[in-house]
Amino acid sequence: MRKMSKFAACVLAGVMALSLIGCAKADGTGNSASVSSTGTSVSASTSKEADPAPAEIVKPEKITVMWDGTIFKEGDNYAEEFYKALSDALGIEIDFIRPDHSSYAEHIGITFNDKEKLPDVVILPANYYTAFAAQGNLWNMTDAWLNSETANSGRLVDAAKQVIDGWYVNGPDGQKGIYGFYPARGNGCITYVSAAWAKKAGYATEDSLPTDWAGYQEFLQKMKEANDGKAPVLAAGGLFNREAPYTNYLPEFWQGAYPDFYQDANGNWVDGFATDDMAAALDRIAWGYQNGYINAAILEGPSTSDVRNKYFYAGETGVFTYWAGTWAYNNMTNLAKNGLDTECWKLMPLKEMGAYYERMSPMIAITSACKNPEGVFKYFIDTMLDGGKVQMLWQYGVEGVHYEWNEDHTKINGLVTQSSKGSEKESKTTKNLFEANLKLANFAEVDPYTPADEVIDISFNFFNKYSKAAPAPVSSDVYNDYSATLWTERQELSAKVAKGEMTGAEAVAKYKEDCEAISNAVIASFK
Amino acid sequence: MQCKYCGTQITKKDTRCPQCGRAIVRPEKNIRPIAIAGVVIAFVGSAFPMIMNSNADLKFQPAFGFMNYESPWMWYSFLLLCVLSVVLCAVKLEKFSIAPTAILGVLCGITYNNVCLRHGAPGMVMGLAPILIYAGCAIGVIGVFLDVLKFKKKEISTDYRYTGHKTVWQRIYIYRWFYLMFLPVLVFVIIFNYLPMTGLRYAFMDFKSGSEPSYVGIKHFVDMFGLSEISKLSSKQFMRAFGNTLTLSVIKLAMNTFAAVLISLLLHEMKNIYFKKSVQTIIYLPHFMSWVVVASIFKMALSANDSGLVNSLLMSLGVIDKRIDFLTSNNLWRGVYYVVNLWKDTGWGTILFLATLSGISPELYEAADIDGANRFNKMRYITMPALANTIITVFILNLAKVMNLFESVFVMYNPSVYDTSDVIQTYIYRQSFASSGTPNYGYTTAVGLFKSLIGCILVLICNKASKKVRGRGIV
Repeated sequence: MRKMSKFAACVLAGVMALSLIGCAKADGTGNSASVSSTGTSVSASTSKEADPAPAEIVKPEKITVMWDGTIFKEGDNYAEEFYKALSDALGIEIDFIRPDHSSYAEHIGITFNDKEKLPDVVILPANYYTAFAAQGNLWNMTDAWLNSETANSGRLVDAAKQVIDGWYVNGPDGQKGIYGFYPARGNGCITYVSAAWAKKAGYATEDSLPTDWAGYQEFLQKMKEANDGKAPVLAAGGLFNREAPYTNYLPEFWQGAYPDFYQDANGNWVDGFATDDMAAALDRIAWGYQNGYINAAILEGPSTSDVRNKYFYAGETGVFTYWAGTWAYNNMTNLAKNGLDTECWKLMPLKEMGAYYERMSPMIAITSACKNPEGVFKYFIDTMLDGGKVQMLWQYGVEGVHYEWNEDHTKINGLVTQSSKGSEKESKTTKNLFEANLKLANFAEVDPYTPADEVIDISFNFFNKYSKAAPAPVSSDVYNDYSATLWTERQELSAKVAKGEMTGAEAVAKYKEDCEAISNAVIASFK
Repeated sequence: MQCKYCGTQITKKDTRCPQCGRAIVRPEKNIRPIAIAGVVIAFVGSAFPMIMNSNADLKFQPAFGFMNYESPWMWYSFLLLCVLSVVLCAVKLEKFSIAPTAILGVLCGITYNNVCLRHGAPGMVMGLAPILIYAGCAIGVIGVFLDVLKFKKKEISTDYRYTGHKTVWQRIYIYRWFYLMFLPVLVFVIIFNYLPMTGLRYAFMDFKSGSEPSYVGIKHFVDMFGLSEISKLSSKQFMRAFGNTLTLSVIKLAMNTFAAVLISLLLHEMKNIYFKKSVQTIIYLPHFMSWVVVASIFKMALSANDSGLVNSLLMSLGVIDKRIDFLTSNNLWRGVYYVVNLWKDTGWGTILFLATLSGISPELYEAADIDGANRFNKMRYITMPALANTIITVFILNLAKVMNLFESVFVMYNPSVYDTSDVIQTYIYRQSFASSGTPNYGYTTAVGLFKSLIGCILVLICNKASKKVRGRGIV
């Protein structure tokens, strides 16, 4: 019996010790999966030491890259094939870290807590880009970019200058500089109107859709009456989008109002929520919500995918503001899957809006932990728009895996995605990181792009014509301290106005009363 | 506590052992906790500033203390001495703890003097650190003297079967296999429960993602409690979350316990065993569903839009002519929340009560039958008294967890109902991850620390209550 007890003690102790070891194997970056392009486990830093002579740029042997879900995902569309092809093309071993896309911003926040373990390259949401650049966590690539092959290739598109100007943010020294890069424009949202809904309401063609607020109000009334009293509008994510530019999912109601800090035409800093424009916008939302033109679910915290799949694609709503370009095609295919009329019309930006917002793109940055930033820039970032095979990888993926050439080798056709292969409705790969229509630099030869459907090009062209740059995300120590507090107040007041508990003017007055001290401090910090 | 003669478990109320009938001699309270409490006060005090700006609107910035003192080894030495003092008290060598406790005061004095010389300026005032540290040292030393002098103290009697006359090391050797079994657990607890506590120091720092932590004294507590003009709104939101946490938790706890008792009694009265088992299985099932799924189900049912089942049903029946905002009305949200909680957890809560009920001797009911008692009287005079102890135990055990409210609220709340639904954990989440800037973990750590402190106090209160009711504590 005693021996049994000893034996049991040893076994139990061993099992618990093993369980401890199992727990201790957790990755330093949280839950993120770390996959080496060569299939081996690699460390989180470049193997090459920084070259003492700045003129000699050494190609790194190995780099770590942290990326969200904007490139092919593992298990979804042969991401490993892309990693391997990119690694082979660049001659660099690349360790991709891919946290979950929906919680990527949280992972970024956690990753940057430990500066020793930062990846060499990271893609950042725009607000993090601004903040981290000012904190000195990113490498200043201004000179590298200005002297880069891409910048001097002559292949940059016309819109590139305006986009690249938006990349300049304050560094730790207070000087403006480029701390990140993205090979494409930021894109934005346009409003899609279900043609079936509109026709029922007496709007025969796209051209007959309203162009100003008064017309839009009448349009919503008719849409509701003609479609069994269903509310025609529901915005993805609720009243506000969580990311800048915040108002892009409900632009007709927000119009010129912008709920965060921005610089006006005279260069003065303004708290957008404390303006008369905001009061008017809130009243418009109240009108829409209380009269049943905005679906009541908007205040119940609907997820973006719910609004897309359970409402617009199910025919429960008829007006949906979402991304331009490929999503125009996705809308069609998803409506078709549900047996609904696939025709979607584009709503012109209302006269009061002026234009749709083009957001600042996420930024690919080299972190301060990178030991060879010049090498990483030259051989990893600058090659993204090389106009040749590396750009093909970033733009379209791997030949034979994600696309194939046509017979005369002039155009490519997307291949069936990994996740949809064998399913009833197979879908084809349309892009990797960025859309052909949004790229910042052309190919050296002709772009082999073949749109899956002409609606994609039409949608992009429409957006390009009717969009303007959104206010740049802001950052300062004081802003970071109180941003969550301010947003809580803004969201609460907006919801109260929508429900009719107060007017827009009262909400703005209350906001000023509660938040004036913070607003003033934040604006002072920007100055 | 056990009877030292026969080992029978005895309650606090017993004056004689229910088994052997011998009188129970209870030892006087040992007063070492006073010494330990003093050291803990000094330990906590070392996180506060030695000197700080006197302007509340500047959040008492700048602030200087052990944490940003130029010689960090001073603070490390201070912490080590604190640990040493506590360990000496714990192993009954309390008189030796006087020396390290006294040195704590000396270290504090040296550091305070140096900090004043280096950073003293007009407008700077003494912070909380020297006050707390000196008070802690004084309590620590006085506590030890009281102990050494054995004022009011008697040796705690220990069960002879477990101690004999052997030394600690001999006893450890005798039970070495048990200690070996315990070792992984100890390591596990240290790594995953105690080491993370070192992060509590960030409550006194600005710790933003991407920048080095910097000592800011009581800045975050100023924000939490609204002591400066700029922090009024943060404080308002924090205090609201704190109030909501207590309200939602306590009412939910009371309702769930009441409903669980009620259903247990009903199930206990059921004669058809198959029906009873079926009902039990059905009401247990929701407990195993994740909160995300439960919230989705209820959101679909209660939504105010066209697809909301309840609203549509009431409208079609003509009961209402305007949709009810179950999920976005401050007046209704809490009711919905309690109902969802009842639906999900009541069944699971009945397990303990049913176990107690099944342990009641049938002879009592038979005797009651003979006495002519009806069902209600049997429930009143037999069932409920038997159940009372379990009800109180369950209530007390759950009361200790009232601050841990997150998932159930997070999946159901929205900005329209922050007034009645926002709780501390959701507030911390939003401050950390829902801002459009980079999160300041320092502030959220301070809020978390406050929450833990309240939780700790509740646990101690519950422990006390448990001792009163059950004769033994929960910790």
